[in-house]
Amino acid sequence: KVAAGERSVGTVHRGKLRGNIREAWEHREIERLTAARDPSMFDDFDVGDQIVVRHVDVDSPGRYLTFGGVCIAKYGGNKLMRSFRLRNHVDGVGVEVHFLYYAPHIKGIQLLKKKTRATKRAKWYFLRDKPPKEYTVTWKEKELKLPRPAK
Amino acid sequence: RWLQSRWGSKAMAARGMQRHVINCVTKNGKTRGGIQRTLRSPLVAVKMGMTSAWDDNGAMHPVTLLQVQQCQVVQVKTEESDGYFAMQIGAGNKHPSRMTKAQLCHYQKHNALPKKRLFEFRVTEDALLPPGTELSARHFVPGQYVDVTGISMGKGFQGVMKRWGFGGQPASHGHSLSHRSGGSLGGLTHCGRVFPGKKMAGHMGSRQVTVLGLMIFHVDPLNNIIAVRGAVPGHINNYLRIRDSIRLAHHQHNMRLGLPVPTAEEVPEEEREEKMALQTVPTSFLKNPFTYKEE
Repeated sequence: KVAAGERSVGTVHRGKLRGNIREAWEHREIERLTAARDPSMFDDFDVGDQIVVRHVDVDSPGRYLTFGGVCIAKYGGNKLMRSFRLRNHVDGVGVEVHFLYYAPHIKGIQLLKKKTRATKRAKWYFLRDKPPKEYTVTWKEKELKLPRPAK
Repeated sequence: RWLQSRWGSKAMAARGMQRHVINCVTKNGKTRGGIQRTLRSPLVAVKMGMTSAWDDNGAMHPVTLLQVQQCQVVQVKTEESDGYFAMQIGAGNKHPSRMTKAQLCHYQKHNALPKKRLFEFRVTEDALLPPGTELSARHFVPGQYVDVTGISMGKGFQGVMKRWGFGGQPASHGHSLSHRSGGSLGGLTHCGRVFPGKKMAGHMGSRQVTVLGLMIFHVDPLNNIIAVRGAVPGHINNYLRIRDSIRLAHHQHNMRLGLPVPTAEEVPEEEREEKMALQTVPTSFLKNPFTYKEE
């Protein structure tokens, strides 16, 4: 039995969900999705860091795509819908992509460079008003240690 | 001229209810052409909340978690004793100190524990279970279609625009004091009265609603949880009735899956680990939204 003060918290104990069932279910989903991916391919990152994400091309299976940029925001904390937003300047256009952290089609996240600005902000939306060179991220394919599709 | 539906009575029509499902399995288990089908017992579950689930194609689905809490067959009604075949199912254990002697005797007589809520469901004869049988989430199979019935969320007294989807009147151009009202109530010469069932403002929500054709995404036998794709009526901790879908196409899909009739068997200790693991819908039942058709 769950103690009265802890009923709003969901926990998973040996396969059994206790307390807040929906929250416990999401915890179990997070564990399942994390166990299904290679932990060495996923770096920790924070807002302001330059990151590259390798994910499956949904239109052509068997092909991986890469998107990189400055992480301007992180959402969701420790929840199942944990996500982050990357901003980059690609082909003369500013592009933002919102990734769901636990999505099964994400195969790797690599940290290129930690943040250099002294700004202490949880969200870096101010970059949208800055000139492109402040948020342009480039990288060489050889430097990346992300997974490559099997031939 | 009455707000009369082709299938229902005037009273039903007055409340704006219409029955649209034509190709369905009726209460007796019969379908068009007089074919007799098996009607299994529905289950009673509690709405736990909504989350997202990813499938093997990489698509995300909204799922509602429904927990089957202490569902037990209390009374079985048969043709000889009551004139029809039905099962009375109880949900949620209740402390005996909170029940009257009459209620307690009812449960004792049928070898069941005292329950919070009782529901009666019409079934066919081959789906009857002995009284006192515990029903679990293994009654359902991932990939099957179900209908979920519940009391919808109450919206209180609502105006005609929210309740019936009326268009209202323009916000400006001289319209006075009636931007969200219902407008005219009818004619004068030919009828001179307002028809019963005229859509007007009033209490909205807190009514029984059935959502048809929801697919079961996950079945968690260890925790008795069913994850159903889509939304179901009502608030969290709402009692819901889950039954096999009555739409004929869904019923045929369910038959092909092979549902356990009358209910799933008890799992012996040796097979417990593999049978009680989380079951997911097979990928063949889910459409891949990412495939691109070359024209």
